[in-house]
Amino acid sequence: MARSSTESEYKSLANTAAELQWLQSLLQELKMPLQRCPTLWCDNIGATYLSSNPKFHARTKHIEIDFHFVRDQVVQQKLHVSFVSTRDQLADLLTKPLAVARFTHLRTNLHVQELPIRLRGCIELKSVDHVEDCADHVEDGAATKNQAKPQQAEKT
Amino acid sequence: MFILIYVVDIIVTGSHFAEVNKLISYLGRVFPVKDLGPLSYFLGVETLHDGGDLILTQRKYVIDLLRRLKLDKVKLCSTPMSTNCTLSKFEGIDFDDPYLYQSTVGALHYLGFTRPDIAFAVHKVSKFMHQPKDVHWQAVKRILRYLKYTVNFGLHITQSDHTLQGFSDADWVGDSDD
Repeated sequence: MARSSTESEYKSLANTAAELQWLQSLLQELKMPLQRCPTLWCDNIGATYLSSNPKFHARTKHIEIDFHFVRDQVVQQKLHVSFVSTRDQLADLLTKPLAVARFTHLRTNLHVQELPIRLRGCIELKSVDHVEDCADHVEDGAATKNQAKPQQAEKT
Repeated sequence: MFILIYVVDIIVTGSHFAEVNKLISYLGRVFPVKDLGPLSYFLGVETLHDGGDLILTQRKYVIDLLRRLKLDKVKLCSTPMSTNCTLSKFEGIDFDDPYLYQSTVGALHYLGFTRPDIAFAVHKVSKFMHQPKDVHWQAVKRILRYLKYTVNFGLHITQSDHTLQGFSDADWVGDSDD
């Protein structure tokens, strides 16, 4: 049980740091290592401060040691913790219901956007049976799709 | 090079176009394979190419879902969840068709690939799968009304400088049931 908002923010910082570490090893495995250390954005000044200052704080001495692993990561320069204003806190979209204006703002920052009108007609035509109708409109040739049909399927 | 196989559907992609083609023709010699050209539709996810950018959308999936639930004529909503929404497992009366609730929420989960904007609302209604109440079904319908409003939305993937960013936030005492 967290005793203060800073503590709960700090715990969530540690959880996110673990998640980032996992993503990093996934990218490593996919042969796409990162050029720079990841940035972790947090909208709580106390938690941001706590993560970079290895000093002993009288009011945070009860925080369990495993949550302090985020500190080790910062010291080893494997992680960068920065403060983000609540307005640009992307995670808010995933933690609370929001009003229209802020919801729309954060949704755009998450790259969920309306399709350009010129691309929409193409979709209207499209259904599973008409995939090929659309292939002509597509410009990029790097990605290729194949459909393999095993012989057993043809019998049915 | 990346190869993704789902039963009979295959995506082959990579930075070397010649290598990709070589693999496809090799597969063609071993299995009966039909090359459908550049990626456009895979497992309900439509792929659109916009210059160097990629747009993923599940528009058709949303339309089919709304039709199946006979909700294609409902009023629109600009957010997936009302701001004063506090769902609780102790409120309301039992919803008469739990199977419908479960399958609809399951269908909404599949939109997670391209619609992170509804992730939180879907997560909330998922907590009541075991015993849905009528108020929870209202919340599900609200998500569907939002989806109808934003049916033309998709996830835009652009080239970036390849960095990893995390956003951390805690929801302190946000759950009324705990």
